[in-house]
Amino acid sequence: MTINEVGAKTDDSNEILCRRIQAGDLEAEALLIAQLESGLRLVAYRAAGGDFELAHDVCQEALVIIIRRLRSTGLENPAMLAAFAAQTARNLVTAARRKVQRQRTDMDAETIERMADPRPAAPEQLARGRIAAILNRILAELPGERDRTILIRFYLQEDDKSEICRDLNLSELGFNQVIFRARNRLRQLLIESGFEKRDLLDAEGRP
Amino acid sequence: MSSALPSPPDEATVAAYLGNELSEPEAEAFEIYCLDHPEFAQKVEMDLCMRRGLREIGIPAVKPPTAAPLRPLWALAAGLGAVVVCGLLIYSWSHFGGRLVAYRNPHEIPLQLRGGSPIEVTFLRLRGSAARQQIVVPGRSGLLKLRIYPDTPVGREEYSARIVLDPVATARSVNLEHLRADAEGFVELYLPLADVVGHTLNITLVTDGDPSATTGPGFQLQVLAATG
Repeated sequence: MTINEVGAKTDDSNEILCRRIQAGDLEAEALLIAQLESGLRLVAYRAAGGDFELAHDVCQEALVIIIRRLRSTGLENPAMLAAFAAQTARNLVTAARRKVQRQRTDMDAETIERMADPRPAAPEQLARGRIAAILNRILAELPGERDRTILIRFYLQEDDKSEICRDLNLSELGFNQVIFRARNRLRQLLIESGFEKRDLLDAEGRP
Repeated sequence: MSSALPSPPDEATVAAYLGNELSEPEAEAFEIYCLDHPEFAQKVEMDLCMRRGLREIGIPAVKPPTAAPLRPLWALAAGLGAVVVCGLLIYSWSHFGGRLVAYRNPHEIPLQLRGGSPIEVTFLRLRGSAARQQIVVPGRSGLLKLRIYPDTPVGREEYSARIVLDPVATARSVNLEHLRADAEGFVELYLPLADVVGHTLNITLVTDGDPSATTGPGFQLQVLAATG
């Protein structure tokens, strides 16, 4: 696979990947999923207005659609794979919203009352609770108060990195190390808790 | 349709994206970059989860250190008085009464008590050996983690722990219910070191819902401070 200096797949490699998938190469499909998964979740999350659970579902659905398309007709221009993937995710979010709106028009008063409940839906609550529990665990594991302050100020208060470094008399390297460790630990714990272990193609029926 | 960014977005751009502050074309270009650069996308995703998770926890804001303004003398005197009163209250509270606090797992521990690894003590009675231990801890801050192996394990049932501090002198105590043994069969619980330094703890495990079913004669731990 061709990798450029920032770890991205080049247009060439996209073309090769698409061709391999069209030829029925399952390993290439796994590579494609690994490449697009995180980005698709981000696209869907923003398009869904911060609905974490919908973003997850849309990401899975988009991957299925993309792979099916690549298996069958392929893309006219494989260099546009990322754009195609992003648009697929956005379209799916739009479709999901339309579906909800259609359902809303047919509801009785009691159901409408339920829909108006400002609390997040149960799966969304569950996802939130799990992330919060994981973050609690990460905070508990941090070696000192300073690391906690860094995370809270950077992620929660959205303070500027240089400002945090100055206030805490911290080098940029030291700051980056704390953030890097926290990100990696979060990723590890999210995977452990099953966030990224949804069976994608099995659920849809792999041929 | 937007074109991808030529170089990795800087942290300010990532923050702006996560804060929904980029224009639509900018956000789309950012997303195309993420789809082309999976490692970068993973970092952004973790940052997103970090923000969400911290908001869910509801941590109070952390104020940056600022230069302290000069205070008048009366304010200083009042401050000193308040410190003395608080010190006396804390001393009397810790020595002559008050509820002892313990936690079942790290998630229950208040943020202010987290920091560094807890000091861990494991109780495992071997062939009738006395379950008495004495430890010396570096100070009063942080947590004490107790790992206790019940004398008569009861499989997957839950336990309750009763911890009594200096049974004769203060009789401060705490009961913790619904403690589950971990995969190795140990029951874990946490206590603030500030509460237990200088004291002796009596710890008894019972099966939940059956106070008479003690799992053994209990354990005793004396906690001494290396300084003060």
